[in-house]
Amino acid sequence: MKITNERNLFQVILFAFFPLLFIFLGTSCQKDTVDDMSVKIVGTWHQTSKTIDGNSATKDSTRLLMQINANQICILCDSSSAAIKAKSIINRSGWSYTGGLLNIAIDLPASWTPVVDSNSLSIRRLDFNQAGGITKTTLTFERVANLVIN
Amino acid sequence: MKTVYKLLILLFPVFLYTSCQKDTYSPNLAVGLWKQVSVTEDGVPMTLTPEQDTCELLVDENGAYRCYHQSFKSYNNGNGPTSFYGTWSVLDGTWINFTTDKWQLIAQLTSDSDKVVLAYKKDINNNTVIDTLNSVQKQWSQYHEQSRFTILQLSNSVMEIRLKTFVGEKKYALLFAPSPSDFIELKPAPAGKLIYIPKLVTDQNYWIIQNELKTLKTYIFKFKKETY
Repeated sequence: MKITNERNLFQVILFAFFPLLFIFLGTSCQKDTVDDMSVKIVGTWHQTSKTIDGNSATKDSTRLLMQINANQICILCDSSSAAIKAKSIINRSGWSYTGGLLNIAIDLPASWTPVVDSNSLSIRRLDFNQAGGITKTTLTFERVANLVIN
Repeated sequence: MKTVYKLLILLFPVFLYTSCQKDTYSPNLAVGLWKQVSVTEDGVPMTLTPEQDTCELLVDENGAYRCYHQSFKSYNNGNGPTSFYGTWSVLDGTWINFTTDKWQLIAQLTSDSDKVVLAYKKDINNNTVIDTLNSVQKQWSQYHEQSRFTILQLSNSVMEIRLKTFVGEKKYALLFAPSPSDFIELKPAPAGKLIYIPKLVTDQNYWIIQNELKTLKTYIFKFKKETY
């Protein structure tokens, strides 16, 4: 009699924890979403346009050419007269892609929201203006053949 | 009846599993543009200056945030800094950390008369006056430190966070927009340094500030989400 009761109790416990198995299965097998932006963004990019709040603006001379390397280093070619005079045309910086944002070390704390396809890249950053509003700056690039920049 | 028991037995562990989950906030909810709407000190709404009233936070997904306010806008002939930055993180879905600039009081007293040590200079009339620029730089030491806020509310529209800290730590810090009366402009600006610093410490306010640095109060900052 006692054995039967214990067996029944065991069956009840086993039965009770059965749904937990499905909960654990359901939550443990959730796959992390894969974002291949870090791969797509690698390459050499030539700036084609710049807009501020949707209005066309003079190109950003600090990065007319931008090379993003797989080793988390990017090279920005600065064509401003100040850079040419100071012979600092090439600027190297670290980069990372976290939280859907492209972080270029020399631009931090501002970061960029990238949109990329095979041949074009656009990056958008947000900044406070003097009045406290948000200014949206977008740079558009086209992919060019990889160059060796020294 | 047997079926009802079976169902109850089935639902019991599910209930146990879900009821033990603590109410926590997702870090994603903190991302966005927030406008400060109120600050309370020990439950009493603080009167904010128009410069403090402009305070906004732009919280990015990558762990950086930027803060806008006009507390120092009048500096540098009206071109003073308005944008400041730091890092943020959510801990255990319960706390939110923001790193901010703070200043530590390092003003010294003379050993013989307990007077605040000040630097002096001659003005154009050859009178001896306090050299404010030199004095304040020896009275305050800037550092960048994390403040941990308890999240009271965090949703798609409201962020309410609470910080228990010393009155002086709140006043002489960028938490988030300081009162312009607690800071002064460094003029002429020292090369490579900030152009703002907490006010000059004198014999008149030294003990007041010391007391502020020993008085604990609870601050609640409320923000509403803005679209951009």
